[in-house]
Amino acid sequence: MSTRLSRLERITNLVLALLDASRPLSLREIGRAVAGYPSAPGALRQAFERDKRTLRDNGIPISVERVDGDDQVGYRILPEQYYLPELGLTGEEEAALSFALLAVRLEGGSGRDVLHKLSAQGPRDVAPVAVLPSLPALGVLQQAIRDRAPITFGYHGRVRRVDGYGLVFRGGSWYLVGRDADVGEAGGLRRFRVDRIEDEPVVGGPGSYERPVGFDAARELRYVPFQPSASGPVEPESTEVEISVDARAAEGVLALVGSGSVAGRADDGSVRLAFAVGDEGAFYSWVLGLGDAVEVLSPREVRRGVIARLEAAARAAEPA
Amino acid sequence: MMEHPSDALDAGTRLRRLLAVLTYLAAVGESSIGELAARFGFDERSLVAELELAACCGLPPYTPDTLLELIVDADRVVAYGLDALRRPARLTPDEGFALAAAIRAMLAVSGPEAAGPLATALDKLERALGLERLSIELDAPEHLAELRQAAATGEAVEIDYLGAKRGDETTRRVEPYAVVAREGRFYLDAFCHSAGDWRRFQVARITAVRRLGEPVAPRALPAELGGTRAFAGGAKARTAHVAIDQSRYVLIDRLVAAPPTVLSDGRVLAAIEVADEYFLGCLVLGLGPAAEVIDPPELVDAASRVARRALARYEAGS
Repeated sequence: MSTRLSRLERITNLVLALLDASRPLSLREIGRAVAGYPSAPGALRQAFERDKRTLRDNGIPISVERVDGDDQVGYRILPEQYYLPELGLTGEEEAALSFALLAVRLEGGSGRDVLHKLSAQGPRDVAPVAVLPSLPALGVLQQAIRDRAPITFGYHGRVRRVDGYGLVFRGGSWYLVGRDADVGEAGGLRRFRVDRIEDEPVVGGPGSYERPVGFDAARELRYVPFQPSASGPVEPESTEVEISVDARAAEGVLALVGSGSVAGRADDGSVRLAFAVGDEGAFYSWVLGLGDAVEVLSPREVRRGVIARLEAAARAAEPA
Repeated sequence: MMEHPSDALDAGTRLRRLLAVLTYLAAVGESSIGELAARFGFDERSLVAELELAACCGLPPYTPDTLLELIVDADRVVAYGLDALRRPARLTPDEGFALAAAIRAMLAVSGPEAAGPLATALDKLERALGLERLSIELDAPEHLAELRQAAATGEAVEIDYLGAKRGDETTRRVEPYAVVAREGRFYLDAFCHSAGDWRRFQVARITAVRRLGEPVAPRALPAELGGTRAFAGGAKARTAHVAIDQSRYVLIDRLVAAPPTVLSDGRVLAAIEVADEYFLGCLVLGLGPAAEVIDPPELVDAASRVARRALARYEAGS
C-alpha cells in the first residue's frame, strides 16, 4: 500500500476508520492502520492535527478520550455526534423544506449542502422568492447564542464582548442583539450590524450567561423613537397628533406606527393616522424625513413646528 | 448549475461533498453519472475522479473486502453496502444557519396561515437540531400575492406605479418575471412595455394590478436579473457624501456601504448610494440642520428642494 495518497483520500479513510472504531484509537494506531499517513512521528502528528482541524471545521467532531498505554489519548468519532439525528419529517414537510431551500437564495450561504443532507429531492429550477445576504459570521453567531457562549469581536474600531440574545434580519441587514459586557448593567443592550463586525468573532465557553426569559430580539430592535415608551423610567408626556400620509409612503408608516392608528382612508390611497408622540424632537425628524409624502394636520403647534423647520431648511440653500 | 473543478476546492469542502454523494448512493444503490453530477453541482469528469478516489478508500487493511464498494463505469455508478454512510452527517453551523434562514424567510413571505408543513418541519428541526431561532422580517405589500401569481403563470398585467416623487404616478403594461425580496423589500422584475426594457419595481409602490389575460412573450433575461442591486428602478446610483453629527450616525448606519470617516470638526462623513435626489433630500432633511450633503455639488441642495416641495403642500392645505 502506497503512502502517497491525496489528502482527500487520507481524510476520507480517517473518517471511515474513526467512525468504525469501537474504542478510541491512539495516534500511533491511526498512523499504523489508516492509509496515507507518514511514518515519522513528528510528521504523523502534524498531518493528523491538520486533518483533525479540517474535520472539525467541516462539522465532523472528533472525540478525544483518555486511554491506557503510552499514548494516553485516543480519538474516535462517536456515531451519535456524527450522524444527523432522525428528524421524522413527513413527505410533505420534506417537500416544503426542499422548496424553501431552493427558493430562498442565501448569497454565499450553504443552502445547497443542507438540501443534500435533508432531502432525497434533486435540484429543480425554482424562481427565487427571496434573496438574503449571508455572511460567514452568521452560522457561528447563531450557534454561540444557542450555547450561551459570549462572543468577542471588533466593531467600529473597538473590541466588544457580547452576550448574544438573538439574530434579526430587518431592512436588508442582519443584526445581532445582545448585551455588551463593557457597557454596564442598565444600558448594556445593544444591536450590532453583522456586516460591520470587523474580524472573525471569537466564541467563549458555553453556558456563560442567561438570556432573559421571553426575550424577543425583534421587538427590542424595533425602533420607534417618537412613541411614548411604556418601559421608560418616567411616565413621558405625550401629544396626540394626526397626520395624513400619501399612498407611496403609507405602507412603511403603517408598519411603524401600527394599523391601530388608522383614522381614515381616502380614495387616492392616502391614510389618515392618529397616535401619541412621546418625543417631539424625534417626531419632527421622522416627519421631515418623509418629505412631501406626509402632512401633519393637528395639533396646530406641531404643524407650525414642522413648517418652521421646513422653512429653515428651504432657506439654507438660498444665496445669502 | 454551478460547477466546481475539484482542484479549486479545499480538501474539507471536497470531503463534505463526497460524503453527501456517498450517502445519497447508499440510499439509492445506483445512479447515472449525469444525474448525480447535476444533483450535486459537479461537472461529470470531476465527479468520476472523486468516485474513483473514493473506491480506493475504506477500512484497514484496505483489502478488496474492506474498501468502499463503488463500481464506476462510463455513465453509471453502482454502490454496495456503504453502511457507515447510510445516514447524513450533522449540519455544520453554516448549514444550520442556512436551513433556519431559508425556512424563516419562506414563512415571512408566505405568512403563517399558508405555512402548514413548513411550520411543522421547522418545529421538528428546531427541537432535533437545537437550532437557535432567527427573526426574519420582510415587508408584506398589498399586491404581493397577485403579482406572484402572475409571475408564476406568466400572465401580462397592467400596474399603476407610484414614483418616488409626488405626481409621478404611471400606468404600465408589464410582463412579470419574478417577485423577489431583496434586502428586505419586495421587487417585481418585469419587462415593461412603456420603457421597452426590463425594470425592477418596488411592490409596495404598485397601487393597482389588472390582469390582462394574455400570456407573456418568451424573452431572453438580462444577466443582471440574478443580482441584488441591479437596475433599481432604472435610475443610475451615485455616491453622495453626507456629514453628520457622530451621535446621529446610528440613524443612517443601515444605509451606509462602508465604514465612515471622522472629519476634523468631529462630525462623521458617510458615503451613501443614492438612486434619486428626492430620497437623499428626505434623508438629510430628517437628520436635522447639522447634517449636510458635501458632494456631489448637484446634490448639495437636495434637502432644501424637498423642504420647498413639502412647504408647498402645507401652503395648499392651510
